[in-house]
Amino acid sequence: MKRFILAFIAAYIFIFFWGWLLNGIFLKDVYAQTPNLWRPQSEMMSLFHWIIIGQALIVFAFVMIYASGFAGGGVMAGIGLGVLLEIAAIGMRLGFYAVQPFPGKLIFTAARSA
Amino acid sequence: MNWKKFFFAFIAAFGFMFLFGFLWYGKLMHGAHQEVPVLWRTESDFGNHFSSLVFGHVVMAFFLTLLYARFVPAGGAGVCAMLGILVALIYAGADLITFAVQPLTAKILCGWIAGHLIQFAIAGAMIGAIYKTDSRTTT
Repeated sequence: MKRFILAFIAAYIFIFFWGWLLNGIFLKDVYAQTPNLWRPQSEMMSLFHWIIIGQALIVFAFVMIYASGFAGGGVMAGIGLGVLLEIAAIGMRLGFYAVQPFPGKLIFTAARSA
Repeated sequence: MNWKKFFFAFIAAFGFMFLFGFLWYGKLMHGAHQEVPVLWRTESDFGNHFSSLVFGHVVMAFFLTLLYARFVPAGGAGVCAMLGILVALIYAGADLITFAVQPLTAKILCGWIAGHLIQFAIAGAMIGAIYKTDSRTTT
C-alpha cells in the first residue's frame, strides 16, 4: 500500500507537469488554430479541478493495472504497459479525429490523455 | 502466444467495440451531441474521415487484446472484464480533462464515461473468454 501511494504520487506529479508542458506550452499554437473547439481560458480555469481529478483517475487506474499484474517486471514492464496504453489511446484519438475537426497533429501528441 | 486465438479475440473485440460505439455514441447519444454542434464535423466531412474511425478502432482493439494477452495470461472473462474497467477509468479520466477544456455538456460527459465502462468491461470479458485457454497450453 505504501509503495502504491508513493508510485501514485510520483506518477501524478510527472503527468501533471508533462501535461502542462505538452498541452500548455508546446501545443499552444496548434490548439489556437481551432479556438471554437475549446473553452475560453477563464472558463477552463473555473473547471481546472476536473483536470486535477481526471489526471488523478488516470494515474490511479494506471498504477492499479501495474500493481495487479505487471509489478514483477520492474521498470521495463511499466514502460511496456505505458506504451501499450498510449497506443490504444492514439486509436481512441483517431476516432475523435473522425468526428471532431481538430488538427491532425493532435492525434499523435497526446492531446486528450497525456 | 497463441496467435490464432489472439486473432479471433482481436476480431471479436474490434467488431464489438465498433458496433457498440455506433449504437452508443452515434445513435443513443446523437441528441446530446447535437446540443454542441460546433464541436463536430459535418456529415460529409465525417464521411471523408470515416477511415480514421475504422483505423482507430483497429488500433485500439489490437493493442487492448495485446495488453490482455500479455499481462493477464491466466485469462478468463471476469479477470479481463476487471482489467477492462481499469482501462475504462483511464479513458474516463481523459474524458474529465476533455470536459474541462472543451465545451461539452455534463450529459455528454456522463454518457462517454458510462459508455467507456460498459464498452471496455464487455470487450475485456470477450477477449478473456476467447483467449483464456491459450496460456494453459502455451506460454
